[in-house]
Amino acid sequence: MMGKSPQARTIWLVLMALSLVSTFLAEGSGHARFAMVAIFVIAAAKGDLVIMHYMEAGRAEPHWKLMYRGWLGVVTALLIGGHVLAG
Amino acid sequence: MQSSEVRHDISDNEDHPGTSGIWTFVFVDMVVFLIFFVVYISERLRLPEIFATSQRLLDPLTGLASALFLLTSSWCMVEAVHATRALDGKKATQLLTLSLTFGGLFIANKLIEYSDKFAHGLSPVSNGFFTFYFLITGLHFIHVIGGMCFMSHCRMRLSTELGCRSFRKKIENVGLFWHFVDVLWLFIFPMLYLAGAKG
Repeated sequence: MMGKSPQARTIWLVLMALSLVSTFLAEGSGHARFAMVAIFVIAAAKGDLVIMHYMEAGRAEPHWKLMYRGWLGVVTALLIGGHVLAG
Repeated sequence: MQSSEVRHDISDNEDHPGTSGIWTFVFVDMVVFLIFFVVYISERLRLPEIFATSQRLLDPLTGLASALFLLTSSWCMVEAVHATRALDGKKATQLLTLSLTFGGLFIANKLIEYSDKFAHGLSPVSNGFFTFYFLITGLHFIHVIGGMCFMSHCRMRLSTELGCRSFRKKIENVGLFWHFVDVLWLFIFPMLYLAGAKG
């Protein structure tokens, strides 16, 4: 059986908090490059929480977990790399 | 092969969430969005000033509100799937209604944002950034509408089909699609509204 509701609620709270942190970093941080890297790392962490706990990729066929997490890694590297190169 | 075996892939495991078909469909959709992201980044590298200036015209709090609405809707959807598995039809109906409500708030927020942009003369042909802004958020918006249609369908069928294996798979599939829509926004939000605007 999938994760219990209290776990889903805790993850929801973490996801909401991380969203607020991302916005604060983008708006309030004096270090633009650090903030940019941090918000994409946070987005990846949030994506992983949703994929593993809400989509239950860990309970699906094993290759899906690898492919979905691979997609997260590729998108995160692309967005960070692209923004770093843009300066 | 029997038609019922075709409708539900015989390789689908009872213990696995959703069907293999939905995992494939969602992954292909994710790759399509990845291609959009690649083209967005390549154009951002070509026109960094235009993109940064245009990004400052977006309100990060509007993007944040959209994220919070979708995350909350996604959580309600998880709970609705839990309730369906537990054969608690009343709770599942309430949670699907809540999930739809937060999805509706996302749509309302997005429509207000779009109308504000048009009122200020910003459209998909204003510049490269706004082409991507309307294209990527518009495609995502269509996915939200689609997900809500699927959810409404499940909500209507819940009372009569609760307990059927096929219905459990169906609501799990809808949940998987809805969480995928959520994951997309987790990247679209920082990409368009947060990163680089202050650079």
